[in-house]
Amino acid sequence: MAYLESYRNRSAADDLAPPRVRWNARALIRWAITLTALIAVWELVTRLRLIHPLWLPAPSVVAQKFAEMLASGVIVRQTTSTLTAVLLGVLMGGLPGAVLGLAMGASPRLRAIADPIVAAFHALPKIALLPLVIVAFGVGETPRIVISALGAFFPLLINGMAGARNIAPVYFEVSRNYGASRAKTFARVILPGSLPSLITGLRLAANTSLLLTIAAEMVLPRSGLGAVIWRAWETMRIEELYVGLIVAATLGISIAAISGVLLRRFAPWHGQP
Amino acid sequence: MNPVQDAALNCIQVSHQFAGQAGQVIALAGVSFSVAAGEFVCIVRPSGCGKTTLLKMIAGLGQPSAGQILIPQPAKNTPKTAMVFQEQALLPWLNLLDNAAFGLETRGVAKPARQTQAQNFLNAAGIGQFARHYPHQLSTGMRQRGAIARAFLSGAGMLLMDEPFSALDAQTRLLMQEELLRIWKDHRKTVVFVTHDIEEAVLLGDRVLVMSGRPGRIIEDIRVPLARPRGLQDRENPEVRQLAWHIWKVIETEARRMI
Repeated sequence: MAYLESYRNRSAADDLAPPRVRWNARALIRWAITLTALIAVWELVTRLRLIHPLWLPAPSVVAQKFAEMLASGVIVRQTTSTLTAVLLGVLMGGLPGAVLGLAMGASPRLRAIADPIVAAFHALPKIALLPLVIVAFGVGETPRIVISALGAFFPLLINGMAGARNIAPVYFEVSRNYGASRAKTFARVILPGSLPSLITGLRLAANTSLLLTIAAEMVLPRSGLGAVIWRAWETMRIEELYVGLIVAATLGISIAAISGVLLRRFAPWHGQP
Repeated sequence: MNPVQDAALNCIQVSHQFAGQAGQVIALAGVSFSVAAGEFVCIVRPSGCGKTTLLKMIAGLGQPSAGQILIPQPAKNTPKTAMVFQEQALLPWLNLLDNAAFGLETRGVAKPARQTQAQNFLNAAGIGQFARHYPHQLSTGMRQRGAIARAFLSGAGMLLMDEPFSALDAQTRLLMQEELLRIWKDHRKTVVFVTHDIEEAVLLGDRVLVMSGRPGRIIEDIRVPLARPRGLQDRENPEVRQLAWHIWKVIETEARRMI
């Protein structure tokens, strides 16, 4: 249907200028309505004392706390700390993961050797490796980043592999018939053909990294959103805990939005007939 | 059969079989023919597998079970063949210009040079203004014109076309035949063109090879005595009609059996 609509709305001018993705105001309004309704229900539930405010403080109370923590700079500082660990992890774990995944997707032999090993390590709960990581790297900044990198490695590996395997064989035939070198085949077929899958992998990787980083911060000393959440729980300042959760949720939304933008920007052909 | 000297292509007793669900399937059995340099040869056959297999083997994308396919070694850095595939085979992540220039790129032609060359070719083909469009933004006909441009620009001496117009509607198909005749007149490449449209084969080819169904073998080798340059009006030429009817009679029984 969407295809039909876009087709019907085409004009001669559209045909001459590459179509551009338009910002969808209607979707944004719908989304805002849902959010407002959710907050209204939340406020109502706490006002009516249906849930004890110790477990669920009113959104207005949380908002006030949020403003306070924003003004004091705590939110920005701790979010930056968490995000840095996530970004470093995605870079250090995700990049090798993507490269290995593409190679495994393109080479059945490598896949046969490496896939069982990957499957075994993927199944391990990464956070359970934290004690080992602490033993190996001490209690500084490093363990958080290592755990974050482990989280990013597997989603990008698996999506890179799936992406390369899903490229239609005819594109490899074109590449062979036209005498493309291995490097050219990688640059012109394997990498761009896997890009949509890699971008989705990036979203999963960033999310997994975020989860693991926050989890690690609850155990490690005093930094990041995990520390904010854990300290709030230890001192029974539940509204602070909710502020931490809201920030984490916002990061999740941002990750999804960024991957959507990347997909439209770098893989405009994706999902087209 | 001995290879013909100076031919652009020699197929000698080419056979191909593969394991199907009901035992060995013989797709091609002792196919022999040669194509002279600059010749436009059409291969017609009733539907069925074998012809794509044959083209892919000529393209170096598969090995025959028996027999030989001989193509003279081309000048350094040029591919032996360039194929126009039946399905949409432009790279979806490259725009029309980069797709058309793909064969130049694999030969190591620098970006500005290959883009100029491709742009000129697209301009001549009347799709120059769509150079920056991606395949999904183009009609099926334009995509196939892009694929033809890519093949002609690759520098390969021989072009292999695997029913390139079979997915197009009847009118677009006529226009594409006209377009192909025009481009070929200017570039004079050796072409092996597979189709099951008999009129198309007679209109385009210097020779028409008629193949049988499974196992595929060549049952007739017909020279088309029609002057060049040719155009769409030649479809109404009595000679063309007569020849097409003759070819139809050759494959009719088999075609009926396939339905």
